[in-house]
Amino acid sequence: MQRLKNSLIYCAISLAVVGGIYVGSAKNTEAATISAQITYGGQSDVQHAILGNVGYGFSQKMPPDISGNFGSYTIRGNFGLTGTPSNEIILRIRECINSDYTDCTVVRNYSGDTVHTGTRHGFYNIPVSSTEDFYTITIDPVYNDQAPFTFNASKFYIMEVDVENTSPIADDWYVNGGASALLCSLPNQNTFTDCGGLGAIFYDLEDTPTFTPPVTDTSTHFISLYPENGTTTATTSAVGASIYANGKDFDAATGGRLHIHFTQDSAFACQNSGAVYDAVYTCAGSNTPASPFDVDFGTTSLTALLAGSYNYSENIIFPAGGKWTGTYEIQQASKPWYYAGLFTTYNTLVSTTTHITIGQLSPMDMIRAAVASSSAAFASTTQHGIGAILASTTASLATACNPFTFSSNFNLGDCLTLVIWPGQQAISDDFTIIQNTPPWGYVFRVIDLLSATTSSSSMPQIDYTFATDSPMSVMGDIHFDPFGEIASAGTLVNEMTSDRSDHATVWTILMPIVNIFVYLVLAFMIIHDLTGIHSHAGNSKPRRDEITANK
Amino acid sequence: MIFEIIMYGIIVLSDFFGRFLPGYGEVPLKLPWGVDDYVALGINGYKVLAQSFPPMQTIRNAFLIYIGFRIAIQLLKAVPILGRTLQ
Repeated sequence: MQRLKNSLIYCAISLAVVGGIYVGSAKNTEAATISAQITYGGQSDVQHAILGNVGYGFSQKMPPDISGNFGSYTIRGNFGLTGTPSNEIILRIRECINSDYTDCTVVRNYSGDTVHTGTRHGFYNIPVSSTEDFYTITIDPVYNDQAPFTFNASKFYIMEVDVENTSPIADDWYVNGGASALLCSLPNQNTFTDCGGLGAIFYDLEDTPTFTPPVTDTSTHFISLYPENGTTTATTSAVGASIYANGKDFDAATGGRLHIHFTQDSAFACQNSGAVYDAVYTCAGSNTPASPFDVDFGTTSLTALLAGSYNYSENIIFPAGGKWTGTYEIQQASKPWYYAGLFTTYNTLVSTTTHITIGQLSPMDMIRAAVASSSAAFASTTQHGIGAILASTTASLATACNPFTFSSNFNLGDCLTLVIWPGQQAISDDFTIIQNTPPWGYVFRVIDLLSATTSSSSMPQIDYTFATDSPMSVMGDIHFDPFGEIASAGTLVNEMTSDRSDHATVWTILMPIVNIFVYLVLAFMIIHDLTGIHSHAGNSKPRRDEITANK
Repeated sequence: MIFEIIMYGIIVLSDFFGRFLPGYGEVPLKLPWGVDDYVALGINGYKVLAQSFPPMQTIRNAFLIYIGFRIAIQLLKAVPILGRTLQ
């Protein structure tokens, strides 16, 4: 009996209802209340809200830039609790210092109201069958002895809904007045009234106590489909759907999935002409349509989240063009006991169909699209390709353009490129040959020697090593670099300084004089050339042109 | 392609006439009859002279200026009217 009881508790926990949270931003006018609300339903932070079990609830991180006064909140759900025990829903506001919502403290703990008994929100007198599943609780600063809370835009907040039982009799979830009335059993939890639960909570960030929650569709449904019904799309297209999944519809352990089944319409399988090459190819010789195929999404994520909006999309390649019908199904996964948990079966919750035309774009359209979307990438690729050819150590004009070379070396593209631009490697090899072949090689060798990169000689130096039995050996070996000593940076020259206070070296003193002399000589030679002062100017013999002129 | 063909032509001619010249086939090629060592020593000597005798830099600059002047004069003489004027 105890095991049965525990099983029922687990069942109740598994079927707990998860809600969305709607947060209204601060508003200036009453009319702006609804339109300014932001839907947070189905976020990953939403957890199971399990009524009747102390300590369970869910929390929601508020937007980081939230501000304004917290006026009222509304809890939506079917709180089918009658009699005792009386559960209590507590709304807490945690204020966090850090942007990652850590280092938080409870700043408000709203747990009572003036309507119901005591500090309990007491969900008495709300029958299970009632359609009145909106329960608005207004924060009363007087009763709660707390002023309306004002959000600080520099802080970060977490809304937390908790369920507590101030006088618990048992941990069971009592619905309709007793443990025997636990109605939550698979798979009958699909309707909202079968099991009590916390469906949604709405926050209104204003001082006005009245707040009307928006009427939203919280049932599991399709939001949009890809491709849309009646559209024509390319052979490779994104398929999928945006769906809203209500947590009540899915088992917490097995979850669900989005299942799409595509079939080609045989009546139109071969009538799609034009540029649809795939369709023509598929239909050639027979009227058999392409094989149907399935696309599945989200088994894992639906299991993890259960509730909220999901956007599934994946690029697939349709095997043929033509008219296709897509059957979109949101399925509930379950593992029947007789499969011992080994196999998963799927029950379709919501289904819809679309009719689309798969028509591949014409070649010209594809070229236009390619040029428009990736012209930069195309140009970059081409440049890199040409660069690779030119820098290649194997691509050469002789091999790339020789059609009789039946090997991988023959490449018409490389050939055309190399006709215009010679390959760097080939040119480098040619220069190497010329540099090492006389007579041109002699010229290159002289250039090498002038650049002194391959000098084969050095200036003489004096080295003498004394014999070990020589008394001079105690003085060490002799090393004398005469050209180094007389160099401008040498020790000998730099040690010959003047006696004046600046201690100038020899060349420091002489260089101005030498420079003046050299440049004077240069100026004289230039003037000599310009004025025609020849070396034989003092000769009395007339020049040849003078003789000719006198005749 | 034209450039590559020209290169091929130079290589063929070099290879043909180079076979009769000393040093053919040596990599790297050196100037024959010890000239390579003499040239290297001469260049080294010039460098030592430039380092040891600071006015060498001034003399070199003056020499280069004079050479440039002579080249410029020869070019100007090639201009018909200006050349006659200069002469």
